[in-house]
Amino acid sequence: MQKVGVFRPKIIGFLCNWCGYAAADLAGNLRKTYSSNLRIVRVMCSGRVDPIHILYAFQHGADGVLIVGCHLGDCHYINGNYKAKMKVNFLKKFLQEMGINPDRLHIDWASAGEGNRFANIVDDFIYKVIKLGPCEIKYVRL
Amino acid sequence: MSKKLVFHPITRIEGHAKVTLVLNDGNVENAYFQVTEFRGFERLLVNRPIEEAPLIVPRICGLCSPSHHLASVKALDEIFGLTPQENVIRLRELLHYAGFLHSHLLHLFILYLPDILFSDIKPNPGFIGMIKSYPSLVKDVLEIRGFAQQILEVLGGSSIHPSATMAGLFLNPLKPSQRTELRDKASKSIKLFNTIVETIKDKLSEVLENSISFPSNFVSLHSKSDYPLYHSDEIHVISSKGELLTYFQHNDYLEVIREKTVSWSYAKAPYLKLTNDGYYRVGPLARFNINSKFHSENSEDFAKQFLYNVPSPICMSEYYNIVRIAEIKYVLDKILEILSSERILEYTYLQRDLKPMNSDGIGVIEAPRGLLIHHYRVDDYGYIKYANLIVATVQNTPIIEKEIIARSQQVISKYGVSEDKLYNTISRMIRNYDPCLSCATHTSNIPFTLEIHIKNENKVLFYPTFSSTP
Amino acid sequence: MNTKLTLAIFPLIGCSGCENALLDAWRVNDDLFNNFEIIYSPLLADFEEPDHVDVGIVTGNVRFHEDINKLLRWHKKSKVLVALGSCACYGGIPGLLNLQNIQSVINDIYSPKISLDNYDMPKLIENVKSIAEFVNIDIAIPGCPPPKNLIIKLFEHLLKGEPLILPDKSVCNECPLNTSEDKVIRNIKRFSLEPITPNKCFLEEGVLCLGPITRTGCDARCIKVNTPCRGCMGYLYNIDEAVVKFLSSVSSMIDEKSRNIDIDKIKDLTGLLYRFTLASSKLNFIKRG
Ligand code: SF4
Ligand code: SF4
Ligand code: SF4
Ligand code: FES
Repeated sequence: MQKVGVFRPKIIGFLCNWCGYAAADLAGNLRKTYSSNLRIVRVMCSGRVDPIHILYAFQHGADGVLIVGCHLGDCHYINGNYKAKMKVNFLKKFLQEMGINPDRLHIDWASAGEGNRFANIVDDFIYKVIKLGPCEIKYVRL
Repeated sequence: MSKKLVFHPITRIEGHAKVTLVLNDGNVENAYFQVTEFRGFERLLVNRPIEEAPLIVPRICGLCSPSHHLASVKALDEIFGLTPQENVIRLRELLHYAGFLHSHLLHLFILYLPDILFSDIKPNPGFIGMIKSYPSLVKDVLEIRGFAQQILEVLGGSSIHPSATMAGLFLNPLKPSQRTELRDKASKSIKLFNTIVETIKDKLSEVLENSISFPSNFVSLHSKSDYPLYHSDEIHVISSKGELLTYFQHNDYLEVIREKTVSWSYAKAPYLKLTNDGYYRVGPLARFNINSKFHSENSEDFAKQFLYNVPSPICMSEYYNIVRIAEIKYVLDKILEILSSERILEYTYLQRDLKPMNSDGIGVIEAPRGLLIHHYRVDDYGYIKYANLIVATVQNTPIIEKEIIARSQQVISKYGVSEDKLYNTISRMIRNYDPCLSCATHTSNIPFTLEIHIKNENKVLFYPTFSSTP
Repeated sequence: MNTKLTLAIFPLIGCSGCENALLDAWRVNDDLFNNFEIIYSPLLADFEEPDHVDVGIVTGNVRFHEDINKLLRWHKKSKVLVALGSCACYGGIPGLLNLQNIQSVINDIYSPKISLDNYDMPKLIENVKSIAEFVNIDIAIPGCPPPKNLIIKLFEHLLKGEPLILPDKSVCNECPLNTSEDKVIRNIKRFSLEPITPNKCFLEEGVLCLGPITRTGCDARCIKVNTPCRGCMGYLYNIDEAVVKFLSSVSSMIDEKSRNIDIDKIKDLTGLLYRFTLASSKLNFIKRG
């Protein structure tokens, strides 16, 4: 008999220092509860997230990757988040071709003041990933 | 008592193959020409964008890559509903002829000629022996090959796997200085080749004296006005007696030519739907038998000496090589003709927005080894959904197997079961066809339903009835 | 006196283009080539496989189980093992078949009832592999086909007994096309289906060109005939790293304000970015049908 456990997805979150991370901080301060499956990596700007980081995460067992940056137009480095968005678009296509559901990768925006919004983004994304189940790619090689 | 003889590998052909003979009390029961290669191009083309096909398919074969490139470009013309300008066609022809030259010279002088020159040396030293014993001949041959290489490099970037042309376009127009340089080399090469042929003429006639007739049908492109290597979409089928069995336009090819798979080889076996025995030959011999005229002075002269005095259609596979020489002369003449006219320089690199107009595109061309068909089906965005490639060598394999049986039977009745003699005869016979086995091993995307050969005891019945749905 | 270096050309599964390229480079009675003697090549002569050879040149990729044994045997026999061509170095174009399940490919063609075993046909391995997965290569000459000047260089270096180090510059370095200062992509285009400005960098015109990550050595021969680079020489970095670097830099070049950007036009990134190198990718692709 196979044991049926609760699926607890591993989610890697790349949060930009100025907005996404600050929003996560605020969500904590507000005592807003959001799912604890998110493992946060702080980056200076969402534009800093390289596709290799995302692929690395998936190849090493992540079930979803979330990127949260400043709202479009508000990036502290002018247009880092536009570039991040384009990278994510390309990468989604590539993930699909690899056989990974592109919905496992999500990019969203939250300003430093939007703790609630941040918590909602995380909860929605995790809910989506739980519905998708474990990542199609399991074993580690890179 | 049945006994199996395996000859592995067959050398000096392009690719990997072996021959299995099944003997029973000194009778040849069967022969399998087994292609032990597998590449799967028809499958790996699926989901690729159609405009990348001409860049991928040359890699099917390193010897006739220009033919694959051009056949797929012809198919692309159809998909995008384009008729290329006259000069685009001339440049493509130039590329095609240069490819012919490159490939035919390799086969004739580097792979095949050692059979004649070193017929009693064992093991046959092939090209390596030629370098030692006939250095000047090899040098001359490599020089003409260098000329072909130069045309391909100038037009297509690389002598192997060129990438020169796309749907309706020729990407890299010829420059005036290149034209004059190549033209001068062309006339030099014609002279050089004529002297080469003079030196090996006697040897060739010797071989022809011992040639053995083996009747079959023939299939090739047909044209009244020219020796059709690139033009013409009309395919003729003639019988071993020379009657025209049928002719059809290239997009009806599935009505006439079908493919099935056999269990002893990674190559498929095509057959003609309309005849009882579906075997046919393609390649130089078929082209000559069907068109019987070269429309070029040089090759006509040569043909008068060697070809026109033989009853047509010629059914001896030794004559493949003779026609090959005539074809080399033909393409050299044509190259000179194209380069002599300045019209080839008037060319505008015309670009347009292209959308797929037809879902299917079929390109046929005469490759050095015979009829080559590229068939692609695309979706609305121009991504390949299905690809079917019928290449020359595959079409020749069933007849090669038949001829192996006939020839080895003769050898056995003359000399008994001598493996050496058998290997020599068989491999030489196969080499006449110039098989190219990396071409032969492409796989189908859509399964063909078929009944497989019934094997009873040690007998395999060839080609029983089967159904085939493309 | 026989001081010639012996040479064996060992073919695995390829298109013979590499051998052909070698022949194209070969010159008779030349100071360089006189120092070499081919003692084995099924394409060129009927000689038996030698026991020892100075230089073993392997072309083609690994497709069958028996290829692995052959390769190990050849490796032992050769003092210097050269991988010639992209098939040998990276798997080459046939590596694209790795995206598909080989069993289903076979089943499509052969009825499951019959087996190829009866006829002693070699057995396929699941994935196409480059030879580097099985043996240590002393010299790798990539390219599909390998460029003539690299082949000549190979022989020069073999003669001197020096290792051959490939140039570590990208194809863009040799590219004759004009690039602009700002390097912005305003439009994504499909090659040859949409008009582009002649003599301008493909990438800036929106046609994906793999020049920036591809190792040079080919004189940018495709670009010189107006075709974008498809990366046959292999990449400057580790393959997967190069591919994502390319994706990342292309996305950074795209002008975010342009309305014409439609990246959905490109539906086949894998076939483009891994055209010649899929077999060497360390990423885990889920196989289709
Ligand atoms: S690398 Fe290219 S030329 Fe060489 S065998 Fe492979 S496909 Fe052919
Ligand atoms: S991207 Fe391509 S076209 Fe542009 S400079 Fe580099 S090699 Fe040349
Ligand atoms: S330009 Fe690119 S694809 Fe063309 S030969 Fe050079 S590396 Fe290969
Ligand atoms: S600083 Fe927040 S996205 Fe660039």
